[in-house]
Amino acid sequence: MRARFDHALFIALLLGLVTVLSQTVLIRELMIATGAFELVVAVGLSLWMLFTGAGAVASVLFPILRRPFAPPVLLALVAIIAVGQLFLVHPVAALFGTVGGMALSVPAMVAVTAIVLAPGCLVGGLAFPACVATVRGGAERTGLVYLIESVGMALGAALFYLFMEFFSPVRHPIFLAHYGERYRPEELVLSRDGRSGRLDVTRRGDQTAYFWNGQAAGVAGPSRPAEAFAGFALTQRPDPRRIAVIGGLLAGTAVEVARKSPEAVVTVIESEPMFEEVFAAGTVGRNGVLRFGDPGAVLRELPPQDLIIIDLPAPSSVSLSRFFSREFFSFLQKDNGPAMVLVVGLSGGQGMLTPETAALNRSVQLALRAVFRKVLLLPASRHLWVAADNDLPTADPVFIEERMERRGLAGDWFNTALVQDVIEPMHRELTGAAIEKADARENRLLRPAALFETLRHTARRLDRPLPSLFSSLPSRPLSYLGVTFLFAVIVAVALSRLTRRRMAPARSAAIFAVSGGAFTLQLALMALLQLHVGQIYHLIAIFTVSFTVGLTAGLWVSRRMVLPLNLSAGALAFLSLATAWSADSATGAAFPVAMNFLAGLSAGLSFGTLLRGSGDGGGAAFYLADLVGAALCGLLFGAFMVPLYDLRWVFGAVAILALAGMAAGSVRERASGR
Amino acid sequence: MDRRIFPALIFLALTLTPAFFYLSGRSPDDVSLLRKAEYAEPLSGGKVRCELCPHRCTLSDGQTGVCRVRRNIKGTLYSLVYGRPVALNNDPVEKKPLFHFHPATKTLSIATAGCNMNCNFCQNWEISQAAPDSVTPYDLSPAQVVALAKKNGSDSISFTYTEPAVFFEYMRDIAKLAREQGLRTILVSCGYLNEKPLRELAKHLDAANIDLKGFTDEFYRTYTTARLQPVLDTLKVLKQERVHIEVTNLVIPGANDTENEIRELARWVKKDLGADTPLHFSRFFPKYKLTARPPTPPVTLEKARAIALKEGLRFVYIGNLATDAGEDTFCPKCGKRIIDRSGYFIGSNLLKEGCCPFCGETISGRWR
Ligand code: SF4
Ligand SMILES: [Zn+2]
Repeated sequence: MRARFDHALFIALLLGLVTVLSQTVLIRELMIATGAFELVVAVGLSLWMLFTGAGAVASVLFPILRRPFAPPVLLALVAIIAVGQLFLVHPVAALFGTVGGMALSVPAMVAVTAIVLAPGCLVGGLAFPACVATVRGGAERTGLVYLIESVGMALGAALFYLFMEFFSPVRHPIFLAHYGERYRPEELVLSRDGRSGRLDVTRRGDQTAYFWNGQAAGVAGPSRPAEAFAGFALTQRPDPRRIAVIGGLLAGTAVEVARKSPEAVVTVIESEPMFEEVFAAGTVGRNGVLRFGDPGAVLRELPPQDLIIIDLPAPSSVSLSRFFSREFFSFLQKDNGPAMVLVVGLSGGQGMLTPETAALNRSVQLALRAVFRKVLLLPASRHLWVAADNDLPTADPVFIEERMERRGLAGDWFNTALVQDVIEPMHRELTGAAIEKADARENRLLRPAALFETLRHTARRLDRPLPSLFSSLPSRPLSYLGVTFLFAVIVAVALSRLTRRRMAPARSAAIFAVSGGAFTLQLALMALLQLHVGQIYHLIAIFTVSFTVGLTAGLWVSRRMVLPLNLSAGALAFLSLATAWSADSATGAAFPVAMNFLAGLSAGLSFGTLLRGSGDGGGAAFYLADLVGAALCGLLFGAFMVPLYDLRWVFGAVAILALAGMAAGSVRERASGR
Repeated sequence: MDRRIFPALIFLALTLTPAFFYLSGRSPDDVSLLRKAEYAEPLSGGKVRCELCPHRCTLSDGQTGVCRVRRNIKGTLYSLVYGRPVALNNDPVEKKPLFHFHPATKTLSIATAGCNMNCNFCQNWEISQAAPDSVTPYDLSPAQVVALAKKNGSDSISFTYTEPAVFFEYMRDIAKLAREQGLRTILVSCGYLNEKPLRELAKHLDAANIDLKGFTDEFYRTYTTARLQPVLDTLKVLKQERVHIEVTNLVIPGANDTENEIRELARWVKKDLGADTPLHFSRFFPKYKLTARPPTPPVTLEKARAIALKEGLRFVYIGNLATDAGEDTFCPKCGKRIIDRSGYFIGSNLLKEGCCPFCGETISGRWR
């Protein structure tokens, strides 16, 4: 039987491959179309799982899906719909925004994501039970189909970059569709997909503009914001010999810094390697050196710097938030010695601080104060936080002007009038007081408070401020965990009742919990990877594959031998706690990837045990519990908790989920043992 | 029980819970802290119509106007922001921008939350698009504001950043008091205000910079949710009331940047406000919801300036961009440079008694 080619299994393999490819491409495009708010990734993945789960449930309504031709037809449909979905992203987004390329409100973003993803996911959800129904050996082999689909997913993840290049010819029309009728950039010079996002370069009139993930990020040539930022930063360290700029390439700060300090060696550090092909070596002037890689790693190789300027976008992700954390500041202090001056750029707004920006500034101020002896604020339109263990930094306009004159830093925009405007006494006093008063926690590596405040700020920008209930969550971890666990239990019970004719309720609940725990652990490990290694998009494929390979191996092993659930789910709990134990020590990429493999392995072993002897139609029931468990728990205990609490709380939640799965599983075993 | 009820329940639970989190948290109003709004027309059934701006919101009990800062509470319209500014800065007057009004002086700039337009490119959205209870205000009476301006050596008080029309009562009271105490007053506004309150306000105003955001009604409707004509009317009224006017046009790529639109705008300014009215073309930077558009290309701004000069306007400036001449004042008669500016910095001011030092031509403006 096994020797002969079983086309249902082959379809399952392709299904996994197509699913991962379209997921990655669609979610990236959705992000670009809706305003590059990272929330869309969490929303997209959760909706993806929910719709697929709904499709799986709906499959019982269509007996025709048990016919042998159903899987290939559905697969073809999924592939065709995926292409349609891609072209649907921008037109659907345009329905919700009044003008082309406008960032959408949060409800509109969720609606666009739902509309775009629904068709493909529903059909995809039908396809899995169809494969199970038509595979030789029937529903007994649900596990095998799942295994094969997982292998397909792993392949799809690995193929992603190849696919991105294959995809390049259609990028131009998609880029133009982004702007709708009203606005057409005259010329798209280039469009490249990199590890961390997409860069588009356009020309209109005499201006070359950069778009990062669809959002205008800067222009080539001089610009006033860059001139002001660079000017103020350079006055904070007299006669620097070595300057490092982290970020600032698209925004133009790096170029300005190099231009205004011809005597210094200026190292500009960018973490996106794709920029290496786009920006020529001379971009940052003769005294500038472009380095690509993780800023921490690059700085470790450099001799001590006199001035370090961090000019990054707002900390809207875990990997960005770490550059504003106490741990990173403390690394810079140790790595560069007491003569170094650090300048950190942060959203400000000329005395127009929202409670969220004030709190964001506060969280970084607290982190800087925990490390450096002297911390001061220059409240320009983009705030400059200056920190040092020496007395070189100054906020005295007389000194700043004197340094400006002496080093010839003055320009068309950075001049005495601007200095006096920024350091105007009332402005400084009021801004400083608003930040001191703001209610925020210190930004730490494992507790990204700056990320939380940035997300709140983005919610205000795109929609409206989050209610006070939400902003009080960071101080109430136990209430949060209590309510969310109760909610998860209600959903798990409802689900298991829904499918009780096809699968024992306790078994379904156990699958829900294990799947939820494993997926949450995957998200937590991903956060850990971002925290220690930096931008991880290039590692996502390897990371996802590591889980799927583990899962596949687990399912394969469990087909040959029965391992008690207590062992496999217990291993999941143990893994999570062990990771929590060592979460704050830098590990490199290997540790989280290995842990992720083991998480997949324990999930696979657990599923194998739980699937054994599941009756007819068990495939759909399993798929539903698996997907809903992963989606819901991933959202509640992973995506939401990471910005709210210390990462170790998330690992704790995973352990609880795994233990809950163990408990539910043992209910079944006792019942059937009797 | 029907089995299909469960998916429905799950779906409801999943959507309603975040919705509950999201929507909860509106605070009740303490009327004793609020100030009754003027220009309110009581209607039957406890409704009120606000006659302050062209939106003319009709509000039932508990409803708040488009501007988010005027609310009907039990049949009476209240201003939620009287005495509660959220932004206070001592700015150079050039930042407003006003180039023909007491150069190199400081102006105490003040704003409350709220705006009666909803421009998707708003450069101050943090406070303009905020409801008053979602930002942290200061507590300052008009007398305290005036005292603050004097203490900080300001020459004038500016009502700016958000839309001052929506804090009309507060603005008027400050302006009146400021004038009495020898300070000048400046309105920086989108010009969306009804004639009656505007004329009342104008009596206490020295200068105004009005944003003429575009010159088609379609632009106003799609980008700002307001209309063009009321803004033009405001400019004419201010002219009649002898307030010093400068006009700002934020040039947004693909939105209001066609040569035709700019020409029409310049023609209108010349015909209805006079060739001496300073016109500022300002460079757009991506902000608020319009973040997928690049800044205005320099060449577009240069072209706009050239068009307006050709149409006969005598003082046309470019803001937010480094140019050779875009921020400088030239004598319209002899063409020589009289005031040299970069950013807020005045390099040289050769003006003599409001006249060109080279040919004696009078340069319109309020210089002393
Ligand atoms: S001022 Fe406010 S409440 Fe009054 S009409 Fe205008 S938008 Fe409506
Ligand atoms: Zn002259």
